Amino acid sequence: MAVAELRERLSAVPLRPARLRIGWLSAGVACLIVAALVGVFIGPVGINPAQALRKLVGLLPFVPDTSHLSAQHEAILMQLRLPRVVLAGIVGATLAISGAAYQGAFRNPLADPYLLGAAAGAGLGATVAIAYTPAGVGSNIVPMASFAGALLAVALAYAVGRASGPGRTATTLVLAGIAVMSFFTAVQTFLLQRRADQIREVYGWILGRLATVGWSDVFLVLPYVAVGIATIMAHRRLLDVLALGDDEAEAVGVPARRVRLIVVVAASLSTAAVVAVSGLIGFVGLIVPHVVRLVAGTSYRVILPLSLCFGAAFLILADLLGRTVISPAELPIGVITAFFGAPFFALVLRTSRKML
Amino acid sequence: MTAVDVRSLSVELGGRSILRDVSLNVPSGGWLGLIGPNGAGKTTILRAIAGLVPSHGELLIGDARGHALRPRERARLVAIVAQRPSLPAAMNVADYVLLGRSPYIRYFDTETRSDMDAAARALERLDIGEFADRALGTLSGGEQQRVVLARALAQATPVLLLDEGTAALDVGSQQHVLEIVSELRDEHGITVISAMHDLTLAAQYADEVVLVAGGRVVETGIPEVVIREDLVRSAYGAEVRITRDEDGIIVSPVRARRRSRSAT
Repeated sequence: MAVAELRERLSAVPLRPARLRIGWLSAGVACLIVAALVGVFIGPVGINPAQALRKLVGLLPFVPDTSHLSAQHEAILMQLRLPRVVLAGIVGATLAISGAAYQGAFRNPLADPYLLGAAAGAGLGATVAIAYTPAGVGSNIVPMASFAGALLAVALAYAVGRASGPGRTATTLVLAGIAVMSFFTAVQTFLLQRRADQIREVYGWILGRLATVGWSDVFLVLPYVAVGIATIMAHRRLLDVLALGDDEAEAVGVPARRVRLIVVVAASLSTAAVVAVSGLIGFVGLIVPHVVRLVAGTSYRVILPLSLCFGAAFLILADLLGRTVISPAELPIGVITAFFGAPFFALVLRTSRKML
Repeated sequence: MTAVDVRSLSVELGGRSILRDVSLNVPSGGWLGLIGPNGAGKTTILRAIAGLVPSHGELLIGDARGHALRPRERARLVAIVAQRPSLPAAMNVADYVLLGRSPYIRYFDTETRSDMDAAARALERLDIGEFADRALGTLSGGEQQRVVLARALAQATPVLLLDEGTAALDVGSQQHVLEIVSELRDEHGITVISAMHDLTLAAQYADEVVLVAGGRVVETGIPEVVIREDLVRSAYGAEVRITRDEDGIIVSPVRARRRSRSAT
């Protein structure tokens, strides 16, 4: 018996299951670090990169600060550029990993974090806050209103999807999301029509912006995003099982519907939080996971962590372009992500021979 | 010892009764064939045993009460090979077979060395070790069938449920798969319940067959007793001739005689 078992063990082929290869992880982290440094170094005011780097290194625990920056430069670096780069990174990482999570939970390559109406809900919330509150109040409560709107829309989509009975599937939920999205968009359009003078401001919000951020926005979204991303990451193996479909996933003992609910709630919560401070930045949540899928592998153990790194790096660079190309004015970041993201994705799609 | 004991099982879906008062019993290491026309309820019986549809009645798997089992516990007792398994085209064979280890991995955990070994042995056993790195979408129908079986084998369950696709495989591949299942049964004492379309194959492989029609059990017994011309005619609405040789019974369809047409 023991001999037979041993022989079986020896003859067994070595398995090479899909895992995050150290090379890809290093590439992702390196890419993120380079993007962040470039984002911090470049801006309308020239700051000596060497000094800026010393300042940043000095932020590390137990490392003395040896930089010689003027007070003004230090303020620009620490209070304007750094928080903006950090926020761009958080928003990009969150949208990319949430998009990947939605794609896995719904087994639908076209899913993005706005699939269940998060964008339409946030848009309606922001519209109400901008156009229907006394001047001066509006801009302060836009984040809260859009966060609430996004969560409301997703909750409504889930409730409608569930109400369709025991035969409900992921598709039912997607359809419910489309219904909720259309409804919220209609209400938003109606409200905007009646306040034509504020269309510009609402439109500016919809296109996404990271312009007026300071550290406060970073601290505002961080708790939601941290919990959401940690939850999604913890489900990376189970998202791979979900690829079998609900039935077969249940047959191997994985509660598919519960996994989907948890992942979708986590992704929606973190998406709602970042949308509240950044507006609607499209494309990142759809494209970044697919690029990762095409070049590095289709397991969610690969897709999730790499989407996190590349999503953050992508948005930091997109924001950098947005604020430098027509400086001192700024291009909306949503325009940049689509303008540069789409051709890049087309290129990857053409050159890759892998199946999606 | 009884491996699966089903008594008065009924299933309702969307207010419609799909199964009524189904009882069947398979001894440990036995092979039970479910036969019956399309829509008779064969698939639903398998799905009910696997806990994939809610059911009423008594369901014993080994000495565990099926309705009280949690999904992960049940998945360690029963593996099911679906009629049309979903095979993510880009997933590679090794990863797919490894999914069969899911019932042994806790919610937030990951596969251990022993899970890898179990999956590797399953691959080896079904002679698909060389496919380990191939994407599922690049395999032929027969190869895919073996991969799905390997996943079920990696699940290491005492009971294997097979839902045979209507005409997915050619006769050679079909025979090959059934031979493998038969060997696995001999090696590991696995209990098999399979829904089968080909009555001749059912008679050759199953120890006992259950004829199902309209959600009810019509007849249970050894193949020679259940697969009779009159029962097949009333259940399937088919004219067949049943002949016997040393290998068992052979069911061949025959054309209905002309008199029925000339009479009208």
